[in-house]
Amino acid sequence: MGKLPRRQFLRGLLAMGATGFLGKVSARAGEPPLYLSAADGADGRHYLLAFTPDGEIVFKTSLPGRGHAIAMRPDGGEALAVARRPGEWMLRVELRSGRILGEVVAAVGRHFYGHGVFSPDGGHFFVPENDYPGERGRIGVYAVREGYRKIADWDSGGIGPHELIYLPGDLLAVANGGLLTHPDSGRDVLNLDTMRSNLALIDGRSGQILERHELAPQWRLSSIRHLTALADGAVAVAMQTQADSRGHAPLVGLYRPGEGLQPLWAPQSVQRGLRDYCGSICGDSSGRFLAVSSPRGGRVCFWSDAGDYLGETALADGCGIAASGDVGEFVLSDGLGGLSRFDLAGTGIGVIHRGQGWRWDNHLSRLAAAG
Amino acid sequence: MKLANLLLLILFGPLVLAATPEDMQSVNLRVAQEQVLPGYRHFHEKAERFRDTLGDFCSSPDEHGMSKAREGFAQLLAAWMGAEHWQFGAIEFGLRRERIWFWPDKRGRSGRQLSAALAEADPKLLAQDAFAYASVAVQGLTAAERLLYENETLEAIASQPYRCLLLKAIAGNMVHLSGEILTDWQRAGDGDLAAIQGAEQDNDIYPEPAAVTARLLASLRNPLVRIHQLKLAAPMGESATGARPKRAESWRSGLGIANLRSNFAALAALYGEQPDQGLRSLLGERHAPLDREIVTAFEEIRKDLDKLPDDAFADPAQRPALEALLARVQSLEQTVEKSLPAALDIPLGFNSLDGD
Repeated sequence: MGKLPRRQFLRGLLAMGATGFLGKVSARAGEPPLYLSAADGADGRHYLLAFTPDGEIVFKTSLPGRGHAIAMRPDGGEALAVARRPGEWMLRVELRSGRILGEVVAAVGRHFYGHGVFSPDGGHFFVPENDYPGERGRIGVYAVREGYRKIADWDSGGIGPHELIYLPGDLLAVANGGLLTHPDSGRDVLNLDTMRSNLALIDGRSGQILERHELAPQWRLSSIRHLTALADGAVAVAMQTQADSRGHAPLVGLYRPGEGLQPLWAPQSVQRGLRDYCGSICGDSSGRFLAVSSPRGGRVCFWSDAGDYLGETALADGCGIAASGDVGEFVLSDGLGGLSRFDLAGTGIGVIHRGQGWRWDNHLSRLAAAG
Repeated sequence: MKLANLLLLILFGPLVLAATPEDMQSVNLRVAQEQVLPGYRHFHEKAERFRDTLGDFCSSPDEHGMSKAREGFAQLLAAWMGAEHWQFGAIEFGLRRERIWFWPDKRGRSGRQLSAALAEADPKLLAQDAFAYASVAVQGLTAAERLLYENETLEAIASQPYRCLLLKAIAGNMVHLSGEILTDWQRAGDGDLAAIQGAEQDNDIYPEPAAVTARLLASLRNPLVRIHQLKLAAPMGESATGARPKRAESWRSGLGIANLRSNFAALAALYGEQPDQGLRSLLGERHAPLDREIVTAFEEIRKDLDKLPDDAFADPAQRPALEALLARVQSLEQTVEKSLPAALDIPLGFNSLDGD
C-alpha cells in the first residue's frame, strides 16, 4: 500500500524533531484529543460527528444540510459547522457535548463555501462568502462574543474564496478559487474565459489585502481551493483544475514568504493518477510534512516542506486529513466509512476504524489534548 | 439437483455466488464497449448531423429548415440524455458535462449571457478555440435550445444572422467535445478504456476492477438523485398550485419528458436488460428479490413515461401521474442507494464525486 521510497531521508528529517508550531486548538485539562468531521449517515441525513483517536464516536449532531469543514474555537469550547457551498447556515455546537448553541445565517445575496476560521483569541470568526449579485468574493467578519454579529465585510482578493486559515502575525491566507458560480445554477462555472485563482494574504485586523499570488498564466484553469500552514510562514495549497490536463496541470503548490507560489509535482504516473483533483491538504504537527488527498484518484500523497515528494498511499474515496499530534503522522478519513492513521516514518497506513455506515465528508479537524 | 450439489451450494453458496474480480472486469468491459462508447459515438454522430442541418438552414432560413434544425436538435439532446449518466472518464474533465448541458439555470443566466453575446455579435467569440472558453451558459445545448425555440425564432434568425452563426458554433463545439471524449476513451496507453482494461493489474487510475464497478454504480445512483430532485420535484413544486413548469428541463422545446425517457432507457440498460447483462449480472441468486424489485421499477417507470404528454409539467390533469412517477423514482433511488451497494459489495463513492 504505502510507497515511501525515501524512508531514510524521512527518518533524518523526523529526528530533527520539530515540535508543535502553530494554530493548535487545545482541549481543556484532562480531556483527550477529539476529531471532528461532517458525515452522512446510513439514513442519508447529514451530521457533525466527534470521535476519539480510536475512532469511538463521542457525539453526533444533526446538521440542517450537508456540512463541509468544521472550525474550532481556539479555547476548545465551541465548533462551527459551515454549510457546504452554496449553503447559507453555520451551526454552532458545544465541543464536548455536541449540544447545538445556535445558528448563524448568511445575509441576503450571500452564501458560504463550507470553511471558516477563528482569530487566535477566539473573538472573531472569518467566513468566505459569495456575494453573488455582485459577483465578488468576500470575507465576512463576525463578533463571536456578540452572538456572531457581523461587524465587517472584506474583499477576499478574488472570486470564489474557499478555505482560509489564520497565520502567525495576524495574517489571513485565503484560497480564491477563481470560479464564478451562482447558487441557483448549482455548481456550474460561469467565467471559464476569464478565471484566475489566487492565494491572498490579508491583514487579519484591518482586512487590507497585502499580497496576492497566482500561478503562471498557463495554469490559469487551476483553482486553488484548500490550504494549510507549514513552518516558517509557508503555506501549501491544493488545487483542482478545470482544464483536461490528465496530469499536466499542477494540483499542489507551496508558498514561501518572499518566494511566491510554486507548483509541487508528484512523479508523472502519480500526478496523472490524481485525476486533476485534490480535495484536502494538511500539514503535520511540526509543520514540516504535508499530506494531500485525491479522492478521485483514491490516494493521499506526501511532501516535505522543502518541496520533496515523499510518496503516497492508496485510500479509496479518501479525503479528510488531520495532523495526529505526532510528527509525520496523519489521520485520514474516507467516504466509505474508514478512519486510518498514516505514519510517514513507520509502517505506512493502519486502519483505526471501518464501517459503521458513516460517509466521512471532505474535511477532518482535530482538537488537541490539553497540555 | 443432486444432494451433493445442494450440500455444496449450502456450504459454499455465499462464496460461490459472490462476484469475483473477473466477473466485475467482464461487466466493466462490456458496459464500456457496449454502452459507454456507443453512447458517445451516437452523440457525436448526432452532433455532426445537427451541424450539417444548420448549414442548410442558416444559408436560407425558412420554416422547413427550422423544423429540420429542431429535429436535429431534439435527436442530439436525446443522444446526450442517453449518455448523461456516466460519472467517470473523459466527461469528468475540462467541465465537459457543464459545457454540453448547462442546467438547471433558474435565474436565467443563460438568457442574460446569450443576450449579451448577441448584442456584442463578436465574430471572434465563435472560433472554436475561443468558444470553448466562453461561459458554459453560452457554449452548449441549453443556449442552442433558447436560440431554436424562443418566440418568433425564424424572424429573429432572419433579421440577425449572428444567431445562426452562434448556433453553428454550438453545434461545432458539440462535435468537437464529443470527438475529444471519444478520443480520450479510445486512446491506446492512457485512454479510459485502457485504464479499465488495466484495472486487473492495478494501474494509475483504477487499483482493481471493483473501483470501476463502483463508478458504474455511481452512474446509476447519482442520476436518479438528479432526476428525482431537479427534473421531477423542482417543477412539480409542493402542490398543484405550487407547480413551476418553467423549472422543468427543456420546457422551451417541450423535450423534458423525452429527456426522461432517454435517461431511463440508459439507466435500465446499465442495470441490465437481461439477467446476464449490466450490474445485475453481478448479483447472486440470493438477491433475486432485490433484482426483481429494481427490474419492475424500471419497467413501471418506462410505462409511466410512455403515457405522459410532452407538456405534463404544465398540465394540472397530469399531476396524479407525475406524483406516481416521482414516488416510483424516489423508491428506486432508495433501493439503489441502500440495498444495491450491499448486495454487490461495492460501496458508493462520496468524496470522489464531490466538487469541492
